[in-house]
Amino acid sequence: MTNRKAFIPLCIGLAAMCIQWLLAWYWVPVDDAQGEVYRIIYLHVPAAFSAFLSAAILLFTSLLSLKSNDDRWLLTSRAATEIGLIFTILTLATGSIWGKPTWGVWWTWDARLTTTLLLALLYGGWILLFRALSPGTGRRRSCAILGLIIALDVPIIYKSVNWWRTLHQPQTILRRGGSTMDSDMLYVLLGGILIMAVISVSMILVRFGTLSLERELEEKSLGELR
Amino acid sequence: MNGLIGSTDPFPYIFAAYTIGAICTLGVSTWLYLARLRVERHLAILNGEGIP
Repeated sequence: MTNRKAFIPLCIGLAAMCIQWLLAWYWVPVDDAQGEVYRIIYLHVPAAFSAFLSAAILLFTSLLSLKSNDDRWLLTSRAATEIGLIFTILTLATGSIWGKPTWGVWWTWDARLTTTLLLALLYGGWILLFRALSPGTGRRRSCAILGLIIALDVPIIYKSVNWWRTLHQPQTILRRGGSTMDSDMLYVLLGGILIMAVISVSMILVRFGTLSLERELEEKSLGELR
Repeated sequence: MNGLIGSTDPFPYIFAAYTIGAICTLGVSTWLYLARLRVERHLAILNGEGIP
């Protein structure tokens, strides 16, 4: 029987996500400017924050990976990268679906969209780099450096709407002078961000556990062969 | 805000977005569970504990 305790926070997170989605569909009021289609943001924004959170974890584990020879930090980086990639793809997909009825296009080379696509490509590149290099100091260092570059892209994504003239709407939650959103809308959105953060961190922890067990399995298999 | 707001039916877009969200979160959770189960079974066999 598998260790089910590791999955409890993930299951709680998924159940809470269902409730948050129901609130987003039926409880929060309609947006004056965008109409019903704005309800996609209750999935899009939490997914984007989870992608950023994975990058923050990757930054932390990459720095520790550069400092120590412990392979556990590399495995945590791998878990954070895989989950980060999934949430970045989800962000791009939901953003694209929102963009079509709002902007009239599925995709445009806007600064926010392009830097987010770059994040997805960098996450994918990290996984390819990890798989291409053989275990050792070289792989640990190379992956850690790429991890730092990935983390560097996050503030660029976040500030892109201020630095460049873009089609994407400016910051609405964390802005000077407070949020412009209605309080009901804001609480459901903040709740969604928190719930998706719990889900993504739980996924990273579960994946890290599995990767550690895989390594143990590999070592045992090699021991048996010897 | 510019574009086609109000000129298209929003519900297919909302449905599509949340369907992708559900597939993504539930799909990844299932994949994580099955991957853990597979590794734990291999380890149990290797440790001579049989299939759990």
